[in-house]
Amino acid sequence: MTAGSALRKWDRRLLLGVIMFGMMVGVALFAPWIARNDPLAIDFGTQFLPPSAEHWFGTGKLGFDIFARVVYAARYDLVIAISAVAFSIVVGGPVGLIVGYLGGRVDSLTMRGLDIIQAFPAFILAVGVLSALGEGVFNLILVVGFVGVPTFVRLVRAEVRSLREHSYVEAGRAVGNSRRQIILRYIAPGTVGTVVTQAAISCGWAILLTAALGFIGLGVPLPEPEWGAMISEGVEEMVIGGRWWISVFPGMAIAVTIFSLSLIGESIADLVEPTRRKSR
Amino acid sequence: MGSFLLRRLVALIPILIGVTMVAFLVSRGLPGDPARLIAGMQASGGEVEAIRASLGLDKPLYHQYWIYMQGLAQGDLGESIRTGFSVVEDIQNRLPATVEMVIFAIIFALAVALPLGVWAAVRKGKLIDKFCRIISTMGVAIPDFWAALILVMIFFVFLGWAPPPVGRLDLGAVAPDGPTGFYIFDSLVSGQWATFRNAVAHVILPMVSLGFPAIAPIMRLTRNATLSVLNSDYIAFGRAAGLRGAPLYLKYVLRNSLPGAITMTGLISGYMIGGAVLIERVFSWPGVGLYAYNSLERTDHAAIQGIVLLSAITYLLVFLVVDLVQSMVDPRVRLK
Amino acid sequence: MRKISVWITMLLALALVAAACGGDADEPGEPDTPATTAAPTATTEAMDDEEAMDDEEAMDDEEEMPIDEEEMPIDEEEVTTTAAVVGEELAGGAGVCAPPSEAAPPRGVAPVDGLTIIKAYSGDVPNIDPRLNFEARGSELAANMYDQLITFHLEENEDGVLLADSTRPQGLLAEGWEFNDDCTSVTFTLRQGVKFNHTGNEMTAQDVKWSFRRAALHQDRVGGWFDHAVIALYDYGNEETIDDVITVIDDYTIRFDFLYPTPFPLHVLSNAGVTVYDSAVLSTKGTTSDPWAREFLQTTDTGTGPFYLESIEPGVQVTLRRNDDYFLGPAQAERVILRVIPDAAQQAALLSAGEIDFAEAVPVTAIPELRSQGVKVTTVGGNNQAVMYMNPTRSPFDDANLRKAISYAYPYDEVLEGVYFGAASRGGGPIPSTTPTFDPDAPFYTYDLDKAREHLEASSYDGQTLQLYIDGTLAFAPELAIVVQASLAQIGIDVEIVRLSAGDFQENVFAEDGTKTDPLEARINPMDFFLFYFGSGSWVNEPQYHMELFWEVDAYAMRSNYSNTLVTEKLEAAKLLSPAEPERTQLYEEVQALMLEDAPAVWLAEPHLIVASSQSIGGFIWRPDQINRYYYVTKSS
Repeated sequence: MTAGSALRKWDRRLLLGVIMFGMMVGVALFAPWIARNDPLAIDFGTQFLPPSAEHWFGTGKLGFDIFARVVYAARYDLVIAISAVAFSIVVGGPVGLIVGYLGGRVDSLTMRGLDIIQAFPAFILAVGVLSALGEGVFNLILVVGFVGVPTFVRLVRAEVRSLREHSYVEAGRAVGNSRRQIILRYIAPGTVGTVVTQAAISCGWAILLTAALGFIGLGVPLPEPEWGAMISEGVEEMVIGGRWWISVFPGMAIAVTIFSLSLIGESIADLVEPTRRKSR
Repeated sequence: MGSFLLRRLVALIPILIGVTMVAFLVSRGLPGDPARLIAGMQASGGEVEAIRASLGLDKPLYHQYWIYMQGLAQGDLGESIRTGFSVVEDIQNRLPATVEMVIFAIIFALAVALPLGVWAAVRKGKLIDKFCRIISTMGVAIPDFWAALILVMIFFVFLGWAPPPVGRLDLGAVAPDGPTGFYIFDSLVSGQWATFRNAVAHVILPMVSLGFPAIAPIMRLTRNATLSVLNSDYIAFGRAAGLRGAPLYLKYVLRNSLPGAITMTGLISGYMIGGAVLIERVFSWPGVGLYAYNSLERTDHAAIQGIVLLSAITYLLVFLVVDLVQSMVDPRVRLK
Repeated sequence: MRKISVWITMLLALALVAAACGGDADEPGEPDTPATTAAPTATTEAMDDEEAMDDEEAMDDEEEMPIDEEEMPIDEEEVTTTAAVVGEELAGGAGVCAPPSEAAPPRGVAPVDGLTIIKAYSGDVPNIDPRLNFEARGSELAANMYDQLITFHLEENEDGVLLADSTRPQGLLAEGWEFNDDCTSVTFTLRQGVKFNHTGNEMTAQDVKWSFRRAALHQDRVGGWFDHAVIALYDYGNEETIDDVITVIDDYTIRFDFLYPTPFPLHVLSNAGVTVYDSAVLSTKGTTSDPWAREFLQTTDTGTGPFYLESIEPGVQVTLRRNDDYFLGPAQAERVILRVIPDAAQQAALLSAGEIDFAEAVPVTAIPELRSQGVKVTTVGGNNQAVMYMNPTRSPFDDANLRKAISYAYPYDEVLEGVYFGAASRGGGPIPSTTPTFDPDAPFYTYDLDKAREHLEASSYDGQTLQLYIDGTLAFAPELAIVVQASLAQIGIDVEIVRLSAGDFQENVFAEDGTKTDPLEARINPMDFFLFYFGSGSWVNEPQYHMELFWEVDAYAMRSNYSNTLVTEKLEAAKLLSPAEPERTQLYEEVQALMLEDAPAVWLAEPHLIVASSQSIGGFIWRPDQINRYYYVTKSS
């Protein structure tokens, strides 16, 4: 197998991932045109209808149209996940750059701090902090983003430490660039590839975490649609009445979205560094 | 070895202190006034103040932390207002259930991931490799609590093959006598076969739900390790020396992928201890995860604080063990 | 409304039954079990032709709903509605303080070895000390492990359900009673030879007195706060007078003196929490910091009841074992297992699989399926109320027009099917529709958006967002809040739903400023607009008891800061009248009208209690506290 054909194969996976994810983004953007129904319209006349031509994904307890809610929930879940990852990068990236470049005490202190935060399982930490802050989209983004910060600090730091010794950085230093210029001009651009890869994967984690929080009733306020919360709405109906559609479709939406993100993340990673080590 | 252990333990101390601080702050940040909740709803303001004073909640934060650490040093995590027992007792009662489930989930994940990973590497680019890739991507993509629900729906509700999701044993079944609190182990060593079968039947679905997401990373790791071994000089040498098939792979591949797999397993088991909350909820599994869930619902401060601390310390200890094992398996680690 | 008036005629003097809302009943709105917490009252539903017709109509409605399709034939016989036992009149009036003495008869069932009854609990049992209970599960354990002085005559209806007749109190630990002429004193003769479980000590008057002292003087003052005071053993804050008002005459005779007569002393003394402990054991277990052996009673029971505690596995299950020497004869079942199964859907699945005998919480939407799978589901209309409070002392709810606008903008009738799937009644006012003196012709609000807009126009509401607080774990609370939000949006009121954890919610409801002595000022409930369940009005189905608990100015369970001097006057005046007097009814009707005009709350619905059990379960007991007494449960194998 030649390198060229391998590359094309990764391209195909990347393409598939991008198309799938693009579709979900499109669904979120154009929700009002796609949904066909109001996701918040209570209708006591249409409770618990199975999937049909009228209601593609069936209806829920208060007569909510599940398809409309799955579609609108894409807005919440994607916005929360993407913003949270952006938060992680904006906070974690610069910290990683600085401590990675400086090394020494600052570095080891920061790393011990990260050890402490990462000693807590992400879900438990998120539940604790979110309970303290109270629910709401903004708080959710903060919490999910906060939990993701250490990943990016570590990632960027590791990258910086290897780049620091590169010859072109040495050259930059030799021609008299300031520390800041070196970090911004020579080192930071070199970390972009891994950060983008990790961003795609982290975005998937963020969606999972958001859904798990929604499942236990934390996060997006009632009655706004969110995939995890929608799954929990349907548990009783599924196990007893066999009304599977309430929980199954939102779960599938999560799976499709994360699947597409994983495809993107993996194939970029393979492109950037074919012999990469797993970054986590 | 001894000095390595000592060094690691010393390095752990500041982290442990930091962890207690975070656990303390998270629980103080939670809504709800512990004194009011302990006093009961109809207690007067004065009584609440008295309890607040007795708990030291009227003191400045750093002083409260000091009081908390003093209790901690004596193994006192406070009392759960929900169960009325001490948090230490509550956790002791529930920990074996969680640990048992996690152990089985890991065994399941390893049993699936290791052979598949090796196989995928050997047949690189073939159908099985692609299949494994899809499976592993899916394992990451599917929310475990949702998968658990779907499993319950299919195997209990529709097919009736699985026992009802009511915890570790059938309703009315008596817990086996035994020293460990791990029902499967206890019933096995004491020869209580009916209980043993029952416990095994109950652990299957939780095991699969919790273990499924762990398959992907372990499998990938094994595949990559196997690939690097396969491409290495000594395999080429082995081939040249006439070694073929299973003996070759087993000897070199497993040995070489072992350190990575150990680290990964450690990571994952640490994650599972904390991440079991939702799985335990779905299966009514009476472990620390369900305890955490119920405590959160009732804003049971001492219990939440205990669980948060426990999960972090477990994670750290698992890592310590991983490092130790690592250092035994791979001499390079010790030199680091 | 027609249905309600039928009930009222039928329930002439109410199935006022025992059980009080004691210390164990004082956490209205326990998360997992809205229907059975607080002070539940299962008022038995009247069953006559018209009522039966109503049931048929309800079934028709259900059949129209998409959920059952064709595979869900509903067998009408399975729609069990408990028939009423109709009492004549409350004790306390016309010089008669109580019916003549009567002792509870032996049970007369054959004990079956190895017979086990399993019930699913939605969560942990927080506390097994009867006097320190806050919620239904602990109360249920207490009711099965301990005895009270009084119980009630049981009447078997055609479904084999044993209904407590509130007009026929019977001695349980007491054998008989004798009131003085003005009903301010009662002397009990105790049963002889009653033995405590575990120790075999004989129960005497000393144990009774010790138990009441413990409830009154316990450092946390939990056990006696309401049930002692509501029958005027003492006023709040004067608990130490307990020594003077209970007099031990000899080992088997004890006298209670009241400050003034009330209509329901025997009923309150039958409350599941008003138990008698083994004082010989407990007095040795006390310590200086824990004089009343609170610690000891967290893991042990010291009662005389038909069952005793065999084991507790926290978070997993509690096992009760039959007391073979029970003084009324042993129970049928050898063991009762209370098993924690958090998910309501799983409980329902286990019921239909025959794995459990009772489920604590069954999703209302699962009822048709469960019935078609052979599970017995009984819904009982009681005086449970779902209420949405508006704090009339703080802006913007200090504007009566806003409160009225909100009251008019709620679809009272639609939610009964749409949210409750038929398992609720309309109600609509402060006094539940199943409680005596409920006025079916009171000026109730209707769903009328035009009137709502009129009142909104006249109000000072400036378009601000109103935060509606709910306990997110409470069944139906999220759905009701969503309906309220959508309805109010129609008249231009913007509502944000704020979900709190159960613990957080309750703490807010009961938050107090410790520095204030005036109860109204001390109340600092930060939630001005919140949705709440009275998991029932009162264990004693009586307006005086109900209003004293929920709506008097210093009422323990009233947290919306409502006060109206006219209402207070009328409530006080009514207390001086016997339940038989028509003026008393008149006064309560006036109170209902006044309160509806003030609209300090929207009375959203009256949810029914849903009890689901396997087919093999035979007669069990109904009492207004909605607590299961396994002593009366039979099971065929």
